[in-house]
Amino acid sequence: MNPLVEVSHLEKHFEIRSGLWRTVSSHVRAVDDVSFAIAAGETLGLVGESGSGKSTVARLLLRLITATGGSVRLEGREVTTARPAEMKALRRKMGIVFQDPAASMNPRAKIKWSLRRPLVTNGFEHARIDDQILAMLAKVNLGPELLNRYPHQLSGGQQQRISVARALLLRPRLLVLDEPTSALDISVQAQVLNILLDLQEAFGLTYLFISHDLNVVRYVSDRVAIMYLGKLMEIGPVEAVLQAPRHPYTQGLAASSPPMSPHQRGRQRVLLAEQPPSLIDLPTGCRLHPRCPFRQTICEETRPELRELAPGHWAACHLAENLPAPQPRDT
Amino acid sequence: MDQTRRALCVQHLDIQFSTPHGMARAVQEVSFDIHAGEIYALVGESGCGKTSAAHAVMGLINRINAPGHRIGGRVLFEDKDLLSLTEEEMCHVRGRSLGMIFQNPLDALNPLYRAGYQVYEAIVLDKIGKIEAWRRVAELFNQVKLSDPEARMRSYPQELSGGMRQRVMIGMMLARNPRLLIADEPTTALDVTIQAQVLELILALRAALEMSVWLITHDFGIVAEIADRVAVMYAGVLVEEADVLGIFDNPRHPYTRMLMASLPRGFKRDGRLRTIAGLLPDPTLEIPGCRFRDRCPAKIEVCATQAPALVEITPGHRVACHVAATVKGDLPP
Ligand SMILES: Nc1ncnc2c1ncn2[C@@H]1O[C@H](COP(=O)(O)OP(=O)(O)OP(=O)(O)O)[C@@H](O)[C@H]1O
Ligand SMILES: Nc1ncnc2c1ncn2[C@@H]1O[C@H](COP(=O)(O)OP(=O)(O)OP(=O)(O)O)[C@@H](O)[C@H]1O
Ligand SMILES: [Mg+2]
Ligand SMILES: [Mg+2]
Repeated sequence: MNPLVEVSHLEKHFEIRSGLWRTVSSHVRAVDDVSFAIAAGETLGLVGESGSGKSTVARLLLRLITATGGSVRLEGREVTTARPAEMKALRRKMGIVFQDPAASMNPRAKIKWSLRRPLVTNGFEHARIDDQILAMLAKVNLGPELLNRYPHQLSGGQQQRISVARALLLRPRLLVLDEPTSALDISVQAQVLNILLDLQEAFGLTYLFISHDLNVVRYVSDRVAIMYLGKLMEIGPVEAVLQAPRHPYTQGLAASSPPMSPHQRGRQRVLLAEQPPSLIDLPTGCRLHPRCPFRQTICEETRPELRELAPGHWAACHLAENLPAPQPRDT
Repeated sequence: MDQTRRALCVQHLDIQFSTPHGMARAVQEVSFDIHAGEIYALVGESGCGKTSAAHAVMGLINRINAPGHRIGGRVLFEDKDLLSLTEEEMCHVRGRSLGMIFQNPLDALNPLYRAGYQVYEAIVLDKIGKIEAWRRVAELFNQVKLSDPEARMRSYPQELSGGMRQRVMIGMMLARNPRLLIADEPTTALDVTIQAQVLELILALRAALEMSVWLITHDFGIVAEIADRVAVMYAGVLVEEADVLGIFDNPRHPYTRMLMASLPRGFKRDGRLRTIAGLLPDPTLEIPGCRFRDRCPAKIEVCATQAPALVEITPGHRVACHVAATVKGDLPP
């Protein structure tokens, strides 16, 4: 594999301050010792329940926030410690599409302005900017008449396609997509997913695709990573991880995910019944153990490391070899 | 489920909102029944009129939030036409036998009061003693499977996770033992593990209390999971209605078929998803013929002039489409 992005031992602990002097009273371990790589031209899906640290990973990759530990490399160059000039060059190679497209656009500026501005500040040749914008709009299936509108005059799907277009105009190598379709209804979701796959094919783009919809992640990803409470629980090829998961947490997610047809009713739905514990007061040993139906003493005492169970398929579970086989799921 | 007893009967419901561009018809001539004890799902894309229909049934569209609106038709519930009740009478119905879970539970819970107190208030209406009411609150918190119910009763809404808030809302509804529960996108804000818990809870309560549920969503996964019958709405009209297997295995309306085909079901290598080109029609325009016509690959001449009626093509399966109503066997893809 020829990695475009290499993340190793990445860590982000947020400080929680309290009391009269606002002293640091505890830490939220939002991302804890996370390592993975993404090959050029590949899509890595990132899945996990709310609060597991997915958006924090995304923001660390682009250095929108600073890591408290570990490293992020893009084409072999260190992102976490890059100096301002080098960072500017690196940042041009990375784009991000946020979950809420409206919130990432200036509500008082026309779409034209929002698309043009990043190109101007990044020193693109003025004479060619408008042509490039029109060409990109055509690629995301939007007409030039939208350029003179304000964000609130567009539908959710149009806004989301504008933010994809804006990210792509800078010709990034890596595009981070944070829940890009969760606000859309299914017919618009299908349009946006198709466009992303078309553009990936055309430009060899690399995606980190964050979502908690397993059907969407299965459809766009080559490999999938599963996060729980700041840690990577499982990572591997999409078929292996989603169709035959080796970690009890992934099995729980797959079982909870709604079926594609009413014929699949009646399977066991809830494997992980309790609420997740807080990130401030984390469980000892394996972070899943208080909710895990298979837990043993070792799980309460020793933290499991990621182990390669099949080529390219890693899971962090002491019992991975001895779990009952999960019910196979049709797609 | 009891096919003969109707929990709700909606007849020719019509809702118009006043907008700067004229009257917008959000819901047009919609008629359907919900049977006692069934889960009836209403699906359709954003803006097609699902929430408006539910709000009209609940008596929540009024002069303050929608000045100049018009509502027509009849909504029969417990032998009364809800649309003809006074606000006071409607309050009484809402307090007892008709409950609604809103899409955003934070909007419906008051941030200034503890969760337990809000449920307590809902019960105390019933003139039971204070101690008895608090005992019942604790029971309800247990019933909706809130872990550590004593502590949760003392929490403020913003201290609870999305799934917990949704369960407090459900607890509040249950306190009143409703005959019909309207659930508007009850799980869209939740991730899959918590979503599964909320659906499990709705199923358990339906079984225990014989309650009917009107479930509004655009998530076909949830429909596949718990619905008994399904109605599909497009641009303010019902275009198809059938039991859940009929909708999934044998959808007849081109819109339903295209919607189902746009769900991601496989892997990247399986090829691109189907999409529905075009947009919902402008609700302020009077449209002759079928409202889906401009986006429909199967349209024929008559679609431009005559609006198709919702007709029963096989027992229990109703479709509003000139083509689907005449073609008996397989439809063109
Ligand atoms: N600036 C911050 N200060 C303190 N805590 C934070 C901050 N940003 C995020 N967190 C915490 O870090 C954890 C991970 O948050 P993150 O947004 O990465 O989750 P997520 O996996 O993206 O969840 P979701 O699916 O809900 O978007 C959460 O517990 C969150 O409350
Ligand atoms: N108070 C109002 N005044 C004017 N128009 C309104 C009002 N409330 C709703 N509408 C319009 O009525 C139509 C139907 O809206 P409604 O909220 O019922 O859709 P929905 O099917 O619930 O959509 P979603 O899935 O996005 O919740 C939309 O075009 C909406 O803009
Ligand atoms: Mg997030
Ligand atoms: Mg709605």
